Amino acid sequence: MRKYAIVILLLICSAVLFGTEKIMLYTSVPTEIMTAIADAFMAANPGIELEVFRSGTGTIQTKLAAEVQSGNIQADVLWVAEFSYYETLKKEGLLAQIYPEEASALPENFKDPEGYYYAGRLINMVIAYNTKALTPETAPKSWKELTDEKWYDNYVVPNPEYSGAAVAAVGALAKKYGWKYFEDLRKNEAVVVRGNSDVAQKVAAGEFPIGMTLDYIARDLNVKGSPIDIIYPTDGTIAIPSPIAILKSSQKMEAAMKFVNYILSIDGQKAQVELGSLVPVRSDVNPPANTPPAGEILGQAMEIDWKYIEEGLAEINANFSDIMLF
Amino acid sequence: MLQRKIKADPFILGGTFVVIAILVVFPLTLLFLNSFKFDGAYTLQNYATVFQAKRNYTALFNSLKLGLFTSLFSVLLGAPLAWLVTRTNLPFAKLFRTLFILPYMIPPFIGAIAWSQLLNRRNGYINRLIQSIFGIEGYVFNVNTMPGLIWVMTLYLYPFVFITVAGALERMDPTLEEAARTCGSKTMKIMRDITLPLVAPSIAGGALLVFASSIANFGIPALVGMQGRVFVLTTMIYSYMHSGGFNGIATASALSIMLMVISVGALLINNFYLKKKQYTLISGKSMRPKTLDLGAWKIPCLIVALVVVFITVIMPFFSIGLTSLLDAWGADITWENLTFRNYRYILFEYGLTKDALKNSFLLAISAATICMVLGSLIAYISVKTKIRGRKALETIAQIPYTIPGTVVAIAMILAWSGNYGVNLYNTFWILLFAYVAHYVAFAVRTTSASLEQIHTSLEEAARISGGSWFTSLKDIVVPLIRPGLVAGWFLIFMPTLRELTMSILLWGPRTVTIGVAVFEMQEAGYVQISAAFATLLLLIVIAGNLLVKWLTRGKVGI
Repeated sequence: MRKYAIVILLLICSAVLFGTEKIMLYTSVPTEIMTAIADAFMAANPGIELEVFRSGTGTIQTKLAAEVQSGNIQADVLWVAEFSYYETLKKEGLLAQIYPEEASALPENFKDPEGYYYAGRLINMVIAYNTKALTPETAPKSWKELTDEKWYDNYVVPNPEYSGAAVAAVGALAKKYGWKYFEDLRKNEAVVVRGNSDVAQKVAAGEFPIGMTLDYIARDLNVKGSPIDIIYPTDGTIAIPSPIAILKSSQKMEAAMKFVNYILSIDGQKAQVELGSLVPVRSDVNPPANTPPAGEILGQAMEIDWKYIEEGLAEINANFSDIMLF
Repeated sequence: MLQRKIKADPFILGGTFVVIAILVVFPLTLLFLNSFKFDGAYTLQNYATVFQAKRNYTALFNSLKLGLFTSLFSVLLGAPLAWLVTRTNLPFAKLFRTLFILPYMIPPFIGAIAWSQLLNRRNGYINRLIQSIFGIEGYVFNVNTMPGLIWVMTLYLYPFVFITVAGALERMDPTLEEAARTCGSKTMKIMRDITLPLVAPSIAGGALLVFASSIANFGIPALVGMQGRVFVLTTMIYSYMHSGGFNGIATASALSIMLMVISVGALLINNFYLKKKQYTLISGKSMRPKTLDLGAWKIPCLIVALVVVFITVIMPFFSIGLTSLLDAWGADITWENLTFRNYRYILFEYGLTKDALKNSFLLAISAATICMVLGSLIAYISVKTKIRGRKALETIAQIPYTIPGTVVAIAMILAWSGNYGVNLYNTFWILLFAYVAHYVAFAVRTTSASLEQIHTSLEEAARISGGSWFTSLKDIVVPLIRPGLVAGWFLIFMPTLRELTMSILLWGPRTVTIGVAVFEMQEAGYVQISAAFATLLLLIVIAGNLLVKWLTRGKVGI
């Protein structure tokens, strides 16, 4: 009896199989939202199975660097935070030059003139607050205000070593206010957690009344009933067009292209609006309720020196972690 | 001819040496060399860099602090409890004994998840309870601090002290105590002068195990400490590996060597110094020592035992269970906010669950099987043959278990990322290699114990009757040690199924494991979903333990 039980147990445990065309996407879109978008894509393209490796931009960069080094690149499509990293990859010759039909509907500043990458979403660093703890009147209005003693021990931010959007935000804020701004935040006991969804969850749950996070992650939680809302800071939203690209090493060019086209298409943009409360990059798709369209957000956004973000990545990470983490 | 020692099949046995060289010697040597390698030359530069940055020696100091305090509190908690269940007439002592060991079965990172929910700064269940009872603003406890880390670590590691001390107290020669009592000594004096000195080496042994495990632990400092800027060596290595590029790997190597030295040092003290003392002082007699009548202290002691169970087992289980049913983390606990949505999500919607279960089961089954085959061969070579270098082989095979998992993982990355012709980075195989290297020691230990009980004459008889070496192995040795093999298999299967420390450094896009999936969910802030996943894992672990107990007739498992 026991003998058979062991044998049957082993058989059950080791039985597994399946097969379609698989493409691997490396992305920083949060798991729950990405699962929904992937399902929508696969429903529209039954022959393709989209596999998703989801992590922070920083982790994906390290992973991809190690894969390049070992000559075993697993990703077909890359969809992470911001332009500067794609510029680096382009210079290293790792991206494929692509011309998706759907890209014609994008504004010029949302695509690489040479055709290596295209913005698939617009993500915006904003101030999120817990609506049980604060109201639109009492919540802080600007980034600068967060160094005020009033917000001591109340503020949570993402780590740029993990989140690419945080790299852009930290770079932009350091450029505008100097690193002293972060020293003041540290004095104010601002806490660093891993990524943007972590920040949003902690604000929604009430662990921290305010946090720096991406607009759509907070909005998505808000739509699902969590007590969280956002403020577009008066000293500038940090608006980040988030590009999608295909790796040159991909063996599944055709399927990968279908996914890129889907993300840029009206259907793909609508799916992002409906499933993830994202701001669409196309003007022919309406933004989520109570949300300004991309053009308006970019109009009041903080200026970002992408050249500095690209070249100063190591410096940004090092300064931030020296000041805020240790 | 009759005096001939058993000639073992050189092919299989030689192969064992080669496998151990590939699995253990090669990666660890590389790690050691790599920690000195800077710009192609061998220097002390990496170590200098390590100590130049304040963050690194803070991490080292924090590791030591965490290890020392966790050991101290584990002793203060584990030793009296062990005495209570073995030497007094505490009611339900047997049940309490099982309950006190239970935290040992819970994966430490699940404990960390539970306590993050309970003692989280503004919305931890306990903080919210205190706020509503006393009507205060702000929070009382914050788990994301060094004391919080020590608290969680102690609750999950104190069973090491409890188990060793309870064992020693049971095996202790009761005549010594009786002699003292006959001579008129009071209970307290006997405890102080006889019992305590006798079990002191076991207490120290348990404390050293706690020390080594706490500095090697990744899950608790990662989930509890990082947010509060409390970094220890394992989390520091993790953050270098995730963001430091290739200089990061060099620094991580140097930190790994330091971590290894501390933990191996602690275990060496235990093996060479304390183990001997333990054996000389405790007789093997199975006389049951007289139990002490607690008298008026019976009820207070019972209450203490109940409180310990409540804190270490009931509260965390309840917290995880409750959180897994919440609509959103931090939501008010009302009927409308309770839902099975999180379970539906992880079971049917979240693609990684299926992959994680598949990978972890395949990895655990393969690792346990390979470890048992390899481990029994090593044990066989060491116990039954006269091959030169057999003791060295056994010792080398045991090394990776005394080394923290983080270090083993870094060594595997250095060895198998294509720099030496073989590229296993991101694959199932690198995880399997690491698991086998780390856990083969379990197999060696369990089988060598069983093998020592088989007299060589049995095998010799088979050989004289014309059986080949393989026949004698198949028909004589294996059947005799089968219970040991089955037990060892499960002892490897259970921890590898929920492994986190090595997996978090080695997983790739297609090789997510259960531990990694839960960790990632928790780190992404999806607290209620990770709680549902954790509940699922706890059910698998508990069901597995019960199954193992049934299959091995109560020999293995809690």
